[in-house]
Amino acid sequence: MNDPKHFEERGRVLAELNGVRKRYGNVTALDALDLEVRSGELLALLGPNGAGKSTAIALLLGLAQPDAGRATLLGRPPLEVASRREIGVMMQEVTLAPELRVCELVELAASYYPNPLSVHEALAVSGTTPLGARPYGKLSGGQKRQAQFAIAICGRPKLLFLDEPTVGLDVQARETMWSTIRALIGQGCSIVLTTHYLEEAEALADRVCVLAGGRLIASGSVDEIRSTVSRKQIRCATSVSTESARQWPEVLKATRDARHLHLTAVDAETTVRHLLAADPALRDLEVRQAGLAEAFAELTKEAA
Amino acid sequence: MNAVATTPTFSPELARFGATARARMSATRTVRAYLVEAKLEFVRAMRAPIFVVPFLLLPVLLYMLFGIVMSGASGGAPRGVANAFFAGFATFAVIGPALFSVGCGIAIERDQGLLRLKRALPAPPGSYLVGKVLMQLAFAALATGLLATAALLGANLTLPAGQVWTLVGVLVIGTIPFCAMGLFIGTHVSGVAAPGITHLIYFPMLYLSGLFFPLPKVLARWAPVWPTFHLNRLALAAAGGIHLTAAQVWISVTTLIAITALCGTRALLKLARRG
Repeated sequence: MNDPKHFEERGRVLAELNGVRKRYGNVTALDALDLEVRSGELLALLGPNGAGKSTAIALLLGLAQPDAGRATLLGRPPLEVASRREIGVMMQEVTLAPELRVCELVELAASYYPNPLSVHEALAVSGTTPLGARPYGKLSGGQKRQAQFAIAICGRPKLLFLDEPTVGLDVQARETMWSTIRALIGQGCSIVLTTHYLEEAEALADRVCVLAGGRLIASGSVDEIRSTVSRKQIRCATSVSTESARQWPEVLKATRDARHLHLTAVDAETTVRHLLAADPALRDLEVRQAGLAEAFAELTKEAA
Repeated sequence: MNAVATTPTFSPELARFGATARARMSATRTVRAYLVEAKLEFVRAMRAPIFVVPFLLLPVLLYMLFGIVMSGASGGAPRGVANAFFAGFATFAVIGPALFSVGCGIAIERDQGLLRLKRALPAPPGSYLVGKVLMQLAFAALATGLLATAALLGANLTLPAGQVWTLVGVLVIGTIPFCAMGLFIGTHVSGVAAPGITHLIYFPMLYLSGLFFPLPKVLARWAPVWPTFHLNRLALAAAGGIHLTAAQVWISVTTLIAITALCGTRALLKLARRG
Protein backbone atom coordinates (compact mmCIF):
# COMPACT_ATOMS: atom_id res chain seq x y z
CA MET A 1 0.00 0.00 0.00
CA ASN A 2 2.96 2.31 0.46
CA ASP A 3 3.72 1.86 -3.16
CA PRO A 4 2.22 4.90 -4.95
CA LYS A 5 1.88 2.80 -8.10
CA HIS A 6 -1.13 1.11 -6.63
CA PHE A 7 -2.96 4.41 -6.40
CA GLU A 8 -1.99 5.49 -9.89
CA GLU A 9 -3.17 2.22 -11.27
CA ARG A 10 -6.43 2.17 -9.39
CA GLY A 11 -9.33 2.06 -11.82
CA ARG A 12 -7.22 0.89 -14.77
CA VAL A 13 -8.91 -1.86 -16.77
CA LEU A 14 -7.19 -5.19 -16.07
CA ALA A 15 -9.42 -7.53 -18.00
CA GLU A 16 -12.31 -7.00 -20.35
CA LEU A 17 -14.77 -8.61 -22.66
CA ASN A 18 -15.89 -6.49 -25.64
CA GLY A 19 -19.09 -7.44 -27.42
CA VAL A 20 -18.42 -11.08 -26.75
CA ARG A 21 -20.67 -13.80 -28.12
CA LYS A 22 -20.30 -17.46 -27.35
CA ARG A 23 -22.53 -20.32 -28.41
CA TYR A 24 -22.36 -23.95 -27.42
CA GLY A 25 -24.37 -25.79 -30.06
CA ASN A 26 -27.83 -24.24 -29.99
CA VAL A 27 -27.34 -22.58 -26.64
CA THR A 28 -26.23 -18.97 -26.55
CA ALA A 29 -24.03 -18.78 -23.47
CA LEU A 30 -23.06 -15.14 -23.89
CA ASP A 31 -24.78 -12.56 -26.04
CA ALA A 32 -22.89 -9.37 -26.88
CA LEU A 33 -21.46 -9.09 -23.39
CA ASP A 34 -19.28 -6.18 -22.30
CA LEU A 35 -17.51 -6.58 -19.03
CA GLU A 36 -14.62 -4.74 -17.39
CA VAL A 37 -12.54 -5.62 -14.37
CA ARG A 38 -10.76 -2.59 -12.93
CA SER A 39 -7.67 -2.41 -10.82
CA GLY A 40 -8.18 -2.47 -7.07
CA GLU A 41 -11.78 -3.61 -7.13
CA LEU A 42 -13.61 -6.75 -6.18
CA LEU A 43 -16.11 -7.45 -8.91
CA ALA A 44 -18.82 -9.96 -8.09
CA LEU A 45 -20.45 -11.77 -10.98
CA LEU A 46 -23.92 -12.88 -10.03
CA GLY A 47 -26.53 -14.75 -11.93
CA PRO A 48 -28.70 -17.83 -11.85
CA ASN A 49 -27.30 -21.18 -13.05
CA GLY A 50 -26.60 -21.06 -16.76
CA ALA A 51 -26.42 -17.27 -16.81
CA GLY A 52 -23.00 -17.33 -18.44
CA LYS A 53 -20.76 -16.54 -15.45
CA SER A 54 -18.43 -19.49 -15.94
CA THR A 55 -18.29 -18.92 -19.69
CA ALA A 56 -17.35 -15.29 -19.12
CA ILE A 57 -14.51 -16.38 -16.82
CA ALA A 58 -13.38 -19.10 -19.24
CA LEU A 59 -13.09 -16.48 -22.00
CA LEU A 60 -11.10 -14.13 -19.77
CA LEU A 61 -8.74 -16.99 -18.89
CA GLY A 62 -8.29 -18.10 -22.49
CA LEU A 63 -9.88 -21.49 -21.82
CA ALA A 64 -12.45 -20.83 -24.52
CA GLN A 65 -12.47 -18.55 -27.54
CA PRO A 66 -15.31 -16.10 -28.25
CA ASP A 67 -17.30 -16.62 -31.45
CA ALA A 68 -17.39 -12.84 -31.85
CA GLY A 69 -15.92 -9.94 -29.91
CA ARG A 70 -12.68 -9.78 -27.99
CA ALA A 71 -11.31 -10.84 -24.62
CA THR A 72 -8.31 -9.07 -23.11
CA LEU A 73 -6.35 -9.99 -20.02
CA LEU A 74 -3.82 -7.48 -18.70
CA GLY A 75 -3.66 -5.83 -22.09
CA ARG A 76 -2.87 -9.03 -23.93
CA PRO A 77 -4.78 -11.93 -25.45
CA PRO A 78 -5.62 -14.34 -22.59
CA LEU A 79 -3.97 -17.24 -24.42
CA GLU A 80 -0.49 -15.81 -23.83
CA VAL A 81 1.23 -17.42 -20.89
CA ALA A 82 2.80 -14.07 -19.95
CA SER A 83 -0.57 -12.49 -19.20
CA ARG A 84 -1.53 -15.43 -17.00
CA ARG A 85 1.63 -15.04 -14.89
CA GLU A 86 -0.07 -12.12 -13.15
CA ILE A 87 -3.28 -13.90 -12.32
CA GLY A 88 -4.39 -16.54 -9.85
CA VAL A 89 -7.28 -18.91 -10.37
CA MET A 90 -9.59 -20.94 -8.20
CA MET A 91 -11.93 -23.03 -10.29
CA GLN A 92 -14.95 -25.13 -9.61
CA GLU A 93 -14.87 -28.87 -10.06
CA VAL A 94 -11.17 -29.52 -10.17
CA THR A 95 -9.68 -32.71 -8.76
CA LEU A 96 -6.08 -32.21 -7.72
CA ALA A 97 -3.63 -35.07 -7.21
CA PRO A 98 -4.96 -36.85 -4.10
CA GLU A 99 -1.55 -38.35 -3.26
CA LEU A 100 0.19 -34.99 -2.95
CA ARG A 101 0.34 -32.98 0.23
CA VAL A 102 -1.10 -29.47 0.21
CA CYS A 103 2.38 -27.96 0.54
CA GLU A 104 3.53 -29.93 -2.52
CA LEU A 105 0.55 -28.75 -4.56
CA VAL A 106 1.35 -25.17 -3.58
CA GLU A 107 5.04 -25.72 -4.44
CA LEU A 108 4.03 -26.95 -7.90
CA ALA A 109 1.67 -24.05 -8.60
CA ALA A 110 4.25 -21.56 -7.27
CA SER A 111 6.87 -22.98 -9.64
CA TYR A 112 4.84 -21.60 -12.57
CA TYR A 113 5.27 -17.99 -11.42
CA PRO A 114 8.29 -15.70 -11.79
CA ASN A 115 8.26 -14.33 -8.27
CA PRO A 116 5.86 -16.26 -6.05
CA LEU A 117 5.34 -16.38 -2.32
CA SER A 118 7.23 -19.19 -0.62
CA VAL A 119 5.14 -22.22 0.23
CA HIS A 120 5.27 -21.21 3.88
CA GLU A 121 4.07 -17.69 3.04
CA ALA A 122 1.28 -18.89 0.76
CA LEU A 123 -0.04 -21.22 3.44
CA ALA A 124 0.17 -18.48 6.07
CA VAL A 125 -1.58 -15.86 3.94
CA SER A 126 -4.40 -18.22 2.99
CA GLY A 127 -4.75 -19.48 6.57
CA THR A 128 -4.00 -23.07 5.54
CA THR A 129 -0.79 -23.70 7.47
CA PRO A 130 -2.42 -26.55 9.47
CA LEU A 131 -3.32 -28.31 6.22
CA GLY A 132 0.18 -28.10 4.73
CA ALA A 133 1.36 -31.61 5.50
CA ARG A 134 -1.96 -33.34 4.77
CA PRO A 135 -2.52 -35.32 1.57
CA TYR A 136 -5.06 -33.53 -0.60
CA GLY A 137 -7.16 -36.67 -1.00
CA LYS A 138 -7.73 -36.85 2.76
CA LEU A 139 -9.16 -33.34 3.07
CA SER A 140 -12.83 -32.51 3.50
CA GLY A 141 -14.63 -30.64 0.73
CA GLY A 142 -14.20 -27.31 2.48
CA GLN A 143 -10.51 -27.95 3.21
CA LYS A 144 -9.96 -28.74 -0.47
CA ARG A 145 -11.41 -25.35 -1.34
CA GLN A 146 -8.99 -23.76 1.17
CA ALA A 147 -6.06 -25.59 -0.40
CA GLN A 148 -7.18 -24.40 -3.83
CA PHE A 149 -7.30 -20.88 -2.43
CA ALA A 150 -3.68 -21.20 -1.31
CA ILE A 151 -2.80 -22.33 -4.84
CA ALA A 152 -4.69 -19.38 -6.33
CA ILE A 153 -2.79 -16.77 -4.32
CA CYS A 154 0.70 -18.32 -4.28
CA GLY A 155 1.88 -16.47 -7.40
CA ARG A 156 1.13 -13.05 -5.90
CA PRO A 157 -1.41 -12.31 -8.63
CA LYS A 158 -2.49 -8.83 -9.63
CA LEU A 159 -5.83 -10.28 -10.59
CA LEU A 160 -7.48 -13.20 -8.86
CA PHE A 161 -10.38 -15.23 -10.26
CA LEU A 162 -12.41 -16.98 -7.59
CA ASP A 163 -15.21 -19.19 -8.85
CA GLU A 164 -17.54 -20.04 -5.96
CA PRO A 165 -14.66 -20.00 -3.46
CA THR A 166 -16.59 -20.64 -0.27
CA VAL A 167 -18.79 -23.56 -1.32
CA GLY A 168 -18.60 -26.22 1.39
CA LEU A 169 -16.75 -24.05 3.89
CA ASP A 170 -17.92 -23.85 7.49
CA VAL A 171 -18.77 -20.44 8.91
CA GLN A 172 -15.39 -19.85 10.48
CA ALA A 173 -13.40 -20.92 7.43
CA ARG A 174 -15.60 -18.71 5.28
CA GLU A 175 -15.04 -15.71 7.52
CA THR A 176 -11.29 -16.34 7.39
CA MET A 177 -11.34 -16.53 3.62
CA TRP A 178 -13.41 -13.34 3.41
CA SER A 179 -11.00 -11.42 5.58
CA THR A 180 -8.05 -12.72 3.57
CA ILE A 181 -9.82 -11.58 0.41
CA ARG A 182 -10.31 -8.12 1.91
CA ALA A 183 -6.67 -8.02 2.97
CA LEU A 184 -5.54 -8.99 -0.54
CA ILE A 185 -7.60 -6.14 -1.99
CA GLY A 186 -5.84 -3.90 0.53
CA GLN A 187 -2.54 -5.10 -0.90
CA GLY A 188 -3.53 -3.96 -4.39
CA CYS A 189 -4.90 -7.23 -5.72
CA SER A 190 -8.05 -7.12 -7.85
CA ILE A 191 -10.57 -9.92 -7.67
CA VAL A 192 -13.31 -11.36 -9.84
CA LEU A 193 -15.67 -13.41 -7.71
CA THR A 194 -18.56 -15.54 -8.84
CA THR A 195 -20.85 -16.68 -6.12
CA HIS A 196 -24.27 -18.05 -5.39
CA TYR A 197 -24.16 -16.62 -1.89
CA LEU A 198 -25.56 -13.13 -2.15
CA GLU A 199 -24.37 -12.26 1.32
CA GLU A 200 -20.86 -12.99 0.06
CA ALA A 201 -21.23 -10.38 -2.68
CA GLU A 202 -22.85 -8.05 -0.18
CA ALA A 203 -19.95 -8.47 2.24
CA LEU A 204 -17.10 -8.17 -0.25
CA ALA A 205 -17.97 -6.60 -3.57
CA ASP A 206 -17.13 -3.07 -4.69
CA ARG A 207 -19.12 -3.68 -7.82
CA VAL A 208 -21.69 -6.24 -8.83
CA CYS A 209 -22.53 -7.41 -12.34
CA VAL A 210 -25.70 -9.41 -12.69
CA LEU A 211 -25.85 -11.76 -15.67
CA ALA A 212 -28.91 -13.54 -16.96
CA GLY A 213 -29.33 -15.40 -20.22
CA GLY A 214 -25.82 -14.44 -21.30
CA ARG A 215 -26.47 -10.71 -20.98
CA LEU A 216 -25.45 -8.11 -18.44
CA ILE A 217 -28.72 -6.99 -16.88
CA ALA A 218 -27.40 -4.77 -14.11
CA SER A 219 -24.09 -3.40 -12.92
CA GLY A 220 -23.12 -1.13 -10.06
CA SER A 221 -22.25 -1.02 -6.39
CA VAL A 222 -24.20 -3.26 -4.01
CA ASP A 223 -26.19 -0.19 -2.92
CA GLU A 224 -26.94 0.80 -6.49
CA ILE A 225 -28.15 -2.68 -7.35
CA ARG A 226 -30.27 -2.76 -4.24
CA SER A 227 -31.82 0.59 -5.04
CA THR A 228 -32.82 -0.53 -8.53
CA VAL A 229 -35.44 -2.45 -6.69
CA SER A 230 -37.62 0.06 -4.88
CA ARG A 231 -38.93 -2.38 -2.34
CA LYS A 232 -39.04 -2.09 1.40
CA GLN A 233 -39.34 -4.75 4.03
CA ILE A 234 -41.68 -3.77 6.88
CA ARG A 235 -42.05 -5.68 10.11
CA CYS A 236 -44.21 -4.92 13.12
CA ALA A 237 -46.15 -6.46 15.99
CA THR A 238 -49.78 -5.68 15.21
CA SER A 239 -53.28 -7.00 15.23
CA VAL A 240 -53.65 -6.25 11.48
CA SER A 241 -54.22 -9.49 9.60
CA THR A 242 -52.36 -10.52 6.47
CA GLU A 243 -55.66 -10.52 4.57
CA SER A 244 -56.40 -6.90 5.29
CA ALA A 245 -52.78 -5.86 4.59
CA ARG A 246 -53.02 -7.50 1.18
CA GLN A 247 -55.95 -5.20 0.36
CA TRP A 248 -53.61 -2.20 0.30
CA PRO A 249 -52.41 -1.57 -3.26
CA GLU A 250 -48.76 -0.87 -2.38
CA VAL A 251 -48.33 -4.16 -0.50
CA LEU A 252 -46.84 -6.93 -2.62
CA LYS A 253 -46.56 -9.64 -0.05
CA ALA A 254 -47.79 -10.22 3.48
CA THR A 255 -46.85 -13.00 5.85
CA ARG A 256 -47.02 -13.49 9.57
CA ASP A 257 -45.07 -15.40 12.19
CA ALA A 258 -45.83 -15.88 15.89
CA ARG A 259 -44.93 -12.30 16.79
CA HIS A 260 -44.73 -10.19 13.68
CA LEU A 261 -46.45 -9.22 10.49
CA HIS A 262 -44.00 -9.05 7.56
CA LEU A 263 -44.81 -6.92 4.54
CA THR A 264 -43.00 -6.27 1.28
CA ALA A 265 -44.13 -2.99 -0.20
CA VAL A 266 -43.19 -0.59 -2.97
CA ASP A 267 -43.95 2.45 -0.83
CA ALA A 268 -43.02 2.26 2.84
CA GLU A 269 -44.52 5.57 3.95
CA THR A 270 -48.04 4.85 2.67
CA THR A 271 -47.94 1.35 4.13
CA VAL A 272 -46.93 2.66 7.53
CA ARG A 273 -49.76 5.22 7.45
CA HIS A 274 -52.20 2.43 6.63
CA LEU A 275 -50.82 0.27 9.42
CA LEU A 276 -51.00 3.00 12.05
CA ALA A 277 -54.52 3.94 10.99
CA ALA A 278 -55.64 0.31 11.28
CA ASP A 279 -53.85 -0.40 14.57
CA PRO A 280 -52.78 2.58 16.71
CA ALA A 281 -51.33 0.11 19.24
CA LEU A 282 -48.79 -1.18 16.74
CA ARG A 283 -45.32 -1.84 18.21
CA ASP A 284 -41.87 -2.93 17.17
CA LEU A 285 -41.95 -1.24 13.75
CA GLU A 286 -38.96 -1.81 11.49
CA VAL A 287 -38.54 -0.65 7.89
CA ARG A 288 -35.56 -1.61 5.80
CA GLN A 289 -34.35 -1.45 2.22
CA ALA A 290 -34.65 -4.72 0.31
CA GLY A 291 -31.41 -6.71 0.38
CA LEU A 292 -29.33 -7.82 -2.54
CA ALA A 293 -31.20 -11.11 -2.50
CA GLU A 294 -34.54 -9.43 -3.21
CA ALA A 295 -32.96 -7.17 -5.83
CA PHE A 296 -31.33 -10.13 -7.49
CA ALA A 297 -34.53 -12.15 -7.55
CA GLU A 298 -36.40 -9.22 -9.05
CA LEU A 299 -33.75 -8.45 -11.69
CA THR A 300 -33.35 -12.01 -12.88
CA LYS A 301 -37.13 -12.50 -12.95
CA GLU A 302 -37.47 -9.47 -15.21
CA ALA A 303 -34.74 -10.75 -17.50
CA ALA A 304 -36.25 -14.22 -17.82
CA MET B 1 -21.99 -16.43 12.72
CA ASN B 2 -21.75 -14.04 15.67
CA ALA B 3 -19.95 -16.62 17.82
CA VAL B 4 -16.95 -16.62 15.55
CA ALA B 5 -14.43 -13.90 15.94
CA THR B 6 -13.10 -12.73 12.63
CA THR B 7 -9.64 -11.92 13.70
CA PRO B 8 -7.49 -13.16 10.88
CA THR B 9 -3.86 -13.15 11.74
CA PHE B 10 -2.54 -10.54 9.35
CA SER B 11 0.66 -12.33 8.91
CA PRO B 12 3.85 -10.55 7.98
CA GLU B 13 3.76 -12.80 4.91
CA LEU B 14 0.85 -10.77 3.61
CA ALA B 15 3.07 -7.73 3.26
CA ARG B 16 5.10 -9.58 0.64
CA PHE B 17 1.97 -10.13 -1.40
CA GLY B 18 1.61 -6.63 -2.73
CA ALA B 19 5.23 -6.19 -3.77
CA THR B 20 5.36 -5.68 -7.50
CA ALA B 21 5.33 -8.97 -9.31
CA ARG B 22 7.37 -9.48 -12.44
CA ALA B 23 5.85 -11.11 -15.50
CA ARG B 24 9.18 -12.29 -16.88
CA MET B 25 10.14 -15.83 -16.07
CA SER B 26 13.86 -16.47 -15.74
CA ALA B 27 15.32 -19.50 -17.49
CA THR B 28 16.26 -21.01 -14.14
CA ARG B 29 12.71 -20.73 -12.89
CA THR B 30 11.35 -22.26 -16.08
CA VAL B 31 13.67 -25.24 -15.76
CA ARG B 32 12.70 -25.48 -12.11
CA ALA B 33 9.00 -25.61 -13.07
CA TYR B 34 9.68 -28.62 -15.29
CA LEU B 35 11.73 -30.34 -12.59
CA VAL B 36 9.16 -29.78 -9.84
CA GLU B 37 6.47 -31.17 -12.10
CA ALA B 38 8.54 -34.28 -12.84
CA LYS B 39 9.54 -34.75 -9.21
CA LEU B 40 5.97 -34.57 -7.96
CA GLU B 41 4.78 -36.92 -10.70
CA PHE B 42 7.29 -39.43 -9.38
CA VAL B 43 6.28 -38.82 -5.76
CA ARG B 44 2.65 -39.37 -6.73
CA ALA B 45 3.39 -42.63 -8.47
CA MET B 46 5.39 -43.93 -5.53
CA ARG B 47 2.60 -43.05 -3.11
CA ALA B 48 0.04 -44.95 -5.16
CA PRO B 49 0.92 -48.60 -4.54
CA ILE B 50 -1.78 -49.67 -6.95
CA PHE B 51 0.46 -48.27 -9.66
CA VAL B 52 3.81 -49.39 -8.29
CA VAL B 53 3.04 -52.99 -7.43
CA PRO B 54 1.83 -54.31 -10.77
CA PHE B 55 4.16 -52.32 -12.98
CA LEU B 56 7.29 -52.57 -10.88
CA LEU B 57 7.03 -56.06 -9.44
CA LEU B 58 5.08 -58.00 -12.04
CA PRO B 59 7.83 -58.02 -14.70
CA VAL B 60 10.47 -58.96 -12.12
CA LEU B 61 8.38 -61.72 -10.60
CA LEU B 62 7.34 -63.12 -13.98
CA TYR B 63 10.93 -62.95 -15.19
CA MET B 64 12.19 -64.72 -12.08
CA LEU B 65 9.57 -67.41 -12.57
CA PHE B 66 10.01 -68.02 -16.31
CA GLY B 67 13.48 -66.70 -17.00
CA ILE B 68 15.31 -68.01 -13.95
CA VAL B 69 13.44 -70.71 -12.01
CA MET B 70 11.74 -72.56 -14.86
CA SER B 71 14.58 -72.30 -17.35
CA GLY B 72 16.97 -73.40 -14.60
CA ALA B 73 14.78 -76.41 -13.87
CA SER B 74 14.78 -77.42 -17.54
CA GLY B 75 18.57 -77.58 -17.45
CA GLY B 76 19.28 -73.99 -18.44
CA ALA B 77 18.32 -72.13 -21.60
CA PRO B 78 20.50 -72.48 -24.66
CA ARG B 79 23.12 -69.82 -25.29
CA GLY B 80 21.63 -66.54 -26.39
CA VAL B 81 18.06 -67.45 -25.51
CA ALA B 82 18.57 -66.25 -21.94
CA ASN B 83 19.71 -62.89 -23.32
CA ALA B 84 16.68 -62.58 -25.60
CA PHE B 85 14.39 -63.60 -22.78
CA PHE B 86 15.85 -60.95 -20.50
CA ALA B 87 15.58 -58.28 -23.21
CA GLY B 88 11.95 -59.27 -23.87
CA PHE B 89 10.99 -58.95 -20.23
CA ALA B 90 12.89 -55.70 -19.85
CA THR B 91 11.01 -54.25 -22.86
CA PHE B 92 7.77 -55.46 -21.28
CA ALA B 93 8.75 -53.71 -18.03
CA VAL B 94 9.13 -50.29 -19.67
CA ILE B 95 6.26 -50.14 -22.14
CA GLY B 96 3.39 -51.09 -19.80
CA PRO B 97 3.84 -48.19 -17.38
CA ALA B 98 4.59 -45.79 -20.25
CA LEU B 99 1.34 -46.59 -22.04
CA PHE B 100 -0.91 -47.04 -19.05
CA SER B 101 0.25 -44.45 -16.60
CA VAL B 102 0.78 -41.75 -19.20
CA GLY B 103 -2.26 -42.58 -21.33
CA CYS B 104 -4.82 -43.33 -18.65
CA GLY B 105 -3.32 -40.75 -16.30
CA ILE B 106 -3.76 -37.91 -18.77
CA ALA B 107 -7.22 -39.06 -19.85
CA ILE B 108 -8.42 -39.17 -16.24
CA GLU B 109 -6.83 -35.87 -15.31
CA ARG B 110 -8.40 -34.23 -18.34
CA ASP B 111 -11.79 -35.50 -17.18
CA GLN B 112 -11.09 -34.15 -13.70
CA GLY B 113 -10.47 -30.62 -14.93
CA LEU B 114 -6.82 -30.64 -13.86
CA LEU B 115 -5.55 -29.76 -17.31
CA ARG B 116 -8.02 -26.93 -17.52
CA LEU B 117 -6.64 -25.53 -14.27
CA LYS B 118 -3.06 -25.92 -15.47
CA ARG B 119 -3.93 -24.04 -18.63
CA ALA B 120 -5.55 -21.25 -16.63
CA LEU B 121 -2.47 -21.08 -14.39
CA PRO B 122 0.70 -20.01 -16.14
CA ALA B 123 2.13 -23.54 -16.31
CA PRO B 124 4.93 -23.52 -18.91
CA PRO B 125 3.57 -25.09 -22.10
CA GLY B 126 4.54 -28.73 -22.08
CA SER B 127 5.73 -28.92 -18.47
CA TYR B 128 2.86 -31.26 -17.66
CA LEU B 129 3.70 -33.62 -20.51
CA VAL B 130 7.45 -33.39 -20.04
CA GLY B 131 6.96 -34.03 -16.32
CA LYS B 132 5.02 -37.18 -17.09
CA VAL B 133 7.66 -38.39 -19.55
CA LEU B 134 10.60 -37.67 -17.21
CA MET B 135 8.82 -39.52 -14.43
CA GLN B 136 8.31 -42.47 -16.79
CA LEU B 137 12.01 -42.50 -17.64
CA ALA B 138 12.87 -42.62 -13.95
CA PHE B 139 10.34 -45.36 -13.45
CA ALA B 140 11.66 -47.31 -16.43
CA ALA B 141 15.18 -47.06 -14.98
CA LEU B 142 13.91 -48.44 -11.68
CA ALA B 143 11.91 -51.28 -13.25
CA THR B 144 14.65 -52.39 -15.64
CA GLY B 145 17.30 -51.89 -12.97
CA LEU B 146 15.49 -54.35 -10.72
CA LEU B 147 15.12 -56.78 -13.59
CA ALA B 148 18.79 -56.48 -14.56
CA THR B 149 19.85 -57.10 -10.99
CA ALA B 150 17.72 -60.25 -10.89
CA ALA B 151 19.13 -61.39 -14.23
CA LEU B 152 22.74 -60.79 -13.27
CA LEU B 153 22.27 -62.65 -10.01
CA GLY B 154 20.14 -65.54 -11.24
CA ALA B 155 20.08 -66.10 -14.98
CA ASN B 156 22.84 -67.51 -17.15
CA LEU B 157 23.19 -64.49 -19.42
CA THR B 158 26.14 -64.57 -21.78
CA LEU B 159 26.27 -60.79 -21.74
CA PRO B 160 28.82 -59.13 -19.48
CA ALA B 161 27.35 -56.86 -16.78
CA GLY B 162 28.43 -53.66 -18.56
CA GLN B 163 26.43 -54.64 -21.64
CA VAL B 164 23.39 -55.55 -19.59
CA TRP B 165 23.42 -51.98 -18.30
CA THR B 166 23.80 -50.67 -21.87
CA LEU B 167 20.67 -52.61 -22.76
CA VAL B 168 18.89 -51.06 -19.79
CA GLY B 169 20.01 -47.59 -20.93
CA VAL B 170 18.65 -48.09 -24.45
CA LEU B 171 15.33 -49.30 -23.06
CA VAL B 172 15.01 -46.34 -20.74
CA ILE B 173 15.49 -43.88 -23.61
CA GLY B 174 13.31 -46.11 -25.77
CA THR B 175 10.45 -45.51 -23.34
CA ILE B 176 9.90 -42.12 -25.00
CA PRO B 177 8.01 -43.37 -28.10
CA PHE B 178 5.67 -45.35 -25.85
CA CYS B 179 5.12 -42.31 -23.66
CA ALA B 180 4.22 -40.44 -26.86
CA MET B 181 1.71 -43.17 -27.73
CA GLY B 182 0.30 -42.81 -24.22
CA LEU B 183 0.07 -39.03 -24.69
CA PHE B 184 -1.80 -39.58 -27.91
CA ILE B 185 -4.31 -41.94 -26.31
CA GLY B 186 -4.67 -39.79 -23.19
CA THR B 187 -5.39 -36.63 -25.14
CA HIS B 188 -7.90 -38.24 -27.49
CA VAL B 189 -10.13 -40.46 -25.38
CA SER B 190 -11.93 -40.11 -22.05
CA GLY B 191 -10.69 -41.55 -18.77
CA VAL B 192 -13.30 -44.30 -18.97
CA ALA B 193 -12.29 -45.39 -22.46
CA ALA B 194 -8.51 -45.05 -22.04
CA PRO B 195 -7.76 -48.36 -20.24
CA GLY B 196 -9.74 -50.37 -22.81
CA ILE B 197 -8.15 -48.68 -25.80
CA THR B 198 -4.70 -49.06 -24.26
CA HIS B 199 -5.22 -52.79 -23.69
CA LEU B 200 -6.30 -53.13 -27.28
CA ILE B 201 -2.91 -51.84 -28.39
CA TYR B 202 -0.80 -53.17 -25.54
CA PHE B 203 -1.50 -56.91 -25.75
CA PRO B 204 -1.08 -57.40 -29.48
CA MET B 205 2.04 -55.26 -29.28
CA LEU B 206 3.49 -57.46 -26.54
CA TYR B 207 2.79 -60.85 -28.06
CA LEU B 208 2.87 -60.19 -31.79
CA SER B 209 6.28 -58.56 -31.69
CA GLY B 210 7.84 -61.78 -30.42
CA LEU B 211 9.12 -60.43 -27.13
CA PHE B 212 8.73 -63.63 -25.12
CA PHE B 213 8.87 -66.55 -27.54
CA PRO B 214 9.65 -67.13 -31.20
CA LEU B 215 6.63 -66.45 -33.38
CA PRO B 216 5.26 -68.76 -36.08
CA LYS B 217 6.54 -67.70 -39.50
CA VAL B 218 3.31 -66.09 -40.64
CA LEU B 219 3.23 -63.83 -37.58
CA ALA B 220 6.98 -63.23 -37.49
CA ARG B 221 6.75 -61.54 -40.91
CA TRP B 222 4.47 -58.94 -39.39
CA ALA B 223 6.38 -58.40 -36.14
CA PRO B 224 8.16 -55.29 -37.51
CA VAL B 225 4.88 -53.36 -37.61
CA TRP B 226 4.97 -53.20 -33.80
CA PRO B 227 7.24 -50.55 -32.22
CA THR B 228 8.07 -52.99 -29.44
CA PHE B 229 9.85 -55.17 -31.99
CA HIS B 230 12.13 -52.30 -32.95
CA LEU B 231 12.92 -51.21 -29.42
CA ASN B 232 13.60 -54.77 -28.36
CA ARG B 233 16.01 -55.51 -31.19
CA LEU B 234 17.82 -52.18 -30.80
CA ALA B 235 18.35 -52.83 -27.09
CA LEU B 236 19.58 -56.34 -27.69
CA ALA B 237 21.88 -55.21 -30.48
CA ALA B 238 23.31 -52.37 -28.41
CA ALA B 239 24.22 -54.91 -25.77
CA GLY B 240 25.88 -57.16 -28.35
CA GLY B 241 23.27 -59.92 -27.95
CA ILE B 242 22.41 -59.93 -31.67
CA HIS B 243 23.91 -58.34 -34.75
CA LEU B 244 21.96 -55.81 -36.82
CA THR B 245 22.98 -54.33 -40.17
CA ALA B 246 23.25 -50.55 -40.43
CA ALA B 247 20.05 -50.54 -42.50
CA GLN B 248 18.17 -52.46 -39.84
CA VAL B 249 19.36 -50.07 -37.14
CA TRP B 250 18.35 -47.13 -39.30
CA ILE B 251 14.85 -48.57 -39.91
CA SER B 252 14.25 -49.26 -36.22
CA VAL B 253 15.53 -45.89 -35.02
CA THR B 254 13.55 -44.03 -37.68
CA THR B 255 10.37 -45.95 -36.86
CA LEU B 256 10.62 -45.09 -33.18
CA ILE B 257 11.44 -41.44 -33.84
CA ALA B 258 8.57 -41.19 -36.33
CA ILE B 259 6.11 -42.63 -33.79
CA THR B 260 7.35 -40.18 -31.16
CA ALA B 261 7.04 -37.20 -33.49
CA LEU B 262 3.65 -38.16 -34.87
CA CYS B 263 1.95 -39.07 -31.59
CA GLY B 264 3.69 -36.29 -29.66
CA THR B 265 2.72 -33.48 -32.03
CA ARG B 266 -0.85 -34.71 -32.33
CA ALA B 267 -1.10 -34.79 -28.54
CA LEU B 268 0.41 -31.31 -28.15
CA LEU B 269 -1.89 -29.84 -30.78
CA LYS B 270 -4.91 -31.38 -29.12
CA LEU B 271 -3.87 -30.03 -25.73
CA ALA B 272 -3.10 -26.57 -27.07
CA ARG B 273 -6.57 -26.37 -28.58
CA ARG B 274 -8.77 -27.79 -25.87
CA GLY B 275 -6.89 -28.84 -22.77
